[in-house]
Amino acid sequence: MISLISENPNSYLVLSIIIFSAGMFTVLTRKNILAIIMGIELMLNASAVNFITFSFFHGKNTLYSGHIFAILIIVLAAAEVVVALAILLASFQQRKSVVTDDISDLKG
Amino acid sequence: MKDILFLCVAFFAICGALLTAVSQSIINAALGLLLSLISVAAIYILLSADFVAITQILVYVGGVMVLLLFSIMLSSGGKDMSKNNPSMKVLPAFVTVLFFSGFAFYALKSANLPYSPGEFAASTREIGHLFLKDYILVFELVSVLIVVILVGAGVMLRKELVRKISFSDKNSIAEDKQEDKK
Repeated sequence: MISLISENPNSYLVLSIIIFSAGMFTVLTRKNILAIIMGIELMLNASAVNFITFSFFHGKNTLYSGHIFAILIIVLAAAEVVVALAILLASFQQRKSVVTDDISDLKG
Repeated sequence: MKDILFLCVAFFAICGALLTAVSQSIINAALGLLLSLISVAAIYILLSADFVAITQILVYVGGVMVLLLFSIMLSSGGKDMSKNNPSMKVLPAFVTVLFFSGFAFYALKSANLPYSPGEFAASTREIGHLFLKDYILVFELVSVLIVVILVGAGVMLRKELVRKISFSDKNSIAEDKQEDKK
């Protein structure tokens, strides 16, 4: 029944899990805020792949709500990156550093 | 044929993601992210989501990647990048990721997913109808959000504000007090 790799939803979901895990590893191990933002982007992208996969394998008629959610994820990720980079550059003007260890003013 | 295409694209997507995860230079990490994003757009095309694929390339590759590369250039441009997070060593992070992915694989294996692929069709018309009928509130909220973010990013980078929120720099706070007295 399931002969083609590309017509099995599991292959897309496995790809999404791998990309999400790579993003999670990036967020957990990096010290640089820019690299952490890149990890967040990877994780958001993996979730969008899930939405598109489920909407395509819904049946003969594709369920387009999944596409709507994927577009919303892309737009919100772009908005989040803009705000994060604005905060990052404002903070860089103060401290001349983008490393998380140097930004500890709220530590008390 | 479609299988070979899928395997190639998935290989590139995973390679880019792993490059982002382990690369020592921040520029290489950004280029790995770029490779991964383009490959994911190709995956969208394989899944008959042409509009989402074009949006992905326009917004991510055209917008977000350029912003990220600009910020890399504006902030220190590559030095101080090789160090890992000391409070979170590589091994605990690896165990956490392994635990998560094992859980996800188990959930995927035990789930009984329906297997019925759709047909390839142009999706732009349906997406437009959905956005202007069922999801009109979300559409408007996103446009409000984009305006707020445009203004917010501009306000965040104003010179006076940047100096005012400086808690570590005592001199600038003193100057601000003098200015307030005037």
